[in-house]
Amino acid sequence: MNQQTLPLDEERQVWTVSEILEETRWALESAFNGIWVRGEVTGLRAVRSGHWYFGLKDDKAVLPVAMFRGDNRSVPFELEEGLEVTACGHLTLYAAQGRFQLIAKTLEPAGWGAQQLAYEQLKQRLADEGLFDDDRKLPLPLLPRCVGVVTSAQGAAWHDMRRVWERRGVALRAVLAPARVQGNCAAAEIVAAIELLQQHGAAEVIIVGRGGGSREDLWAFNEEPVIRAIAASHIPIISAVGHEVDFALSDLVADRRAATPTAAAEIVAPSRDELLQRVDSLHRRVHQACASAVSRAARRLHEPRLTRALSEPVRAITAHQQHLDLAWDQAETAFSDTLQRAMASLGELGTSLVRHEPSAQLARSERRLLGVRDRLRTAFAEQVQARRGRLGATAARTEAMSPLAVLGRGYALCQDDKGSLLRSASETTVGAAVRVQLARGRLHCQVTGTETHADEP
Amino acid sequence: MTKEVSIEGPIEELAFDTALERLEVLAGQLEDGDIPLEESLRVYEQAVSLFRHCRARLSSVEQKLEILTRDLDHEPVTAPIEPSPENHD
Repeated sequence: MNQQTLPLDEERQVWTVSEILEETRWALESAFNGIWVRGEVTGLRAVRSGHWYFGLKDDKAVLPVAMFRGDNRSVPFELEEGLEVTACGHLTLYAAQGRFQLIAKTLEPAGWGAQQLAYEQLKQRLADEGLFDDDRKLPLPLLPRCVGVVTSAQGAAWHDMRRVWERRGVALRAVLAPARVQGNCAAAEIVAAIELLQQHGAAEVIIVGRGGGSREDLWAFNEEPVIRAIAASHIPIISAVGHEVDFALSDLVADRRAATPTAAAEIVAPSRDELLQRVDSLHRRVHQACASAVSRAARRLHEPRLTRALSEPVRAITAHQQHLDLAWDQAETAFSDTLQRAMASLGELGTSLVRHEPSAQLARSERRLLGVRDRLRTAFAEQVQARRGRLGATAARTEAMSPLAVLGRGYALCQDDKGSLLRSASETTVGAAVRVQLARGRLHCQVTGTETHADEP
Repeated sequence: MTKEVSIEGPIEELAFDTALERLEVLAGQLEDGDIPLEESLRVYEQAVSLFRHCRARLSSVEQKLEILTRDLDHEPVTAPIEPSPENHD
């Protein structure tokens, strides 16, 4: 019955399943391309192939979403159940299951909760990469000649830093690479400024920062490109974002964290008195160490072992002394040769002088001659006198020994007729003639008798 | 082990902390007393010139503020910033 009221097969437009789904798919894709849909993530499945399947729901409905591997790789945060996101893509039909869905190309966190999550996740990822590790941190120069600054030229941070430097009065060159520090362009400008300072190359340390503000105001200092630019810097960087502790990721990646721009300015321009004290105390240490090194050396000089060793040089000096003596002799010889030559020429000169002034010269010579003669005479006379005296004494001694002197004392000499001295009565006979020599004159006698003493031999 | 601090190039261009660090090392060497007297003299002379360099750096007060931008060829270029006239707060 019903069949008769319905049109015949030939009159109906009958689609095949594929046809109608294909037609609908085409209609959907043309009508809903590049659309943004916001909703809460539900029923998330990440399959082995790397694609993501989930639903976006609000309080009344659910929209199935697929995000393929090629696209979901660039999502900067991890998708979680209940997270509110904004997806961009196109609507389509998955013919095999007749399933209506959104193919998401990009995904952004929506609302503060998602941003917080994105922050936590980025932090975790960078930490896993080792970007916050202590061993990556560059040491800060103590007294840099040139400081680079990345902040807004109009902001309070730059103003505060300048005041610190004026107050401290240390020598400093500050190079400001201006960058907006909030808003959509902030991250890109901060990155460009950091890179500009690297290229310029004068800065020995860079301060990147801004004054305090809301979390949203400071967000640029949490963005991945900024963090990576800080990490890549060859110049040490101080992060100076005025805010509560450890919020900005720039603090974690920087080589040093300062609570405020003022604090950062103080770090790069340390108190001069403090440094002077350090330098002066080092100077004193060096002085004292030198003085004690010298006295140590002096003490060692007096060690017996060394004293012995030092006598070696004395020996060496003696040898040198000999060389010196020899050299001296040679020098003297040479000198006397020279002297003689000089004397000779002086003599010649003298002769010529005498020729010019003979009388005076003669008078001088005469006086000298007379002087010499007188001295000779005196000397001679003294000699003669002395010798005379000595001669007289000798003669007196010689005379005392003479036989004549003995005879003078009353003794006599008795000789026989041949002149031989008689020393014993037995040497003559009665009737013999003898001569007796007296001190003055002689007696001719005849012996009338002889006596021989009993004690005589 | 004595820590070596290289001091290539003229002493005037030495970073302040490098000079200070070098001074620390030299003072330590002299205090240890392990080095010969002649070497001490050399070390002492070096310490004195480092000391002078450090004092000179600390006695300078010149401050210069510049702004860094890129010129038309995209090269970094600096321009001086006038000192702030007065603080208003």
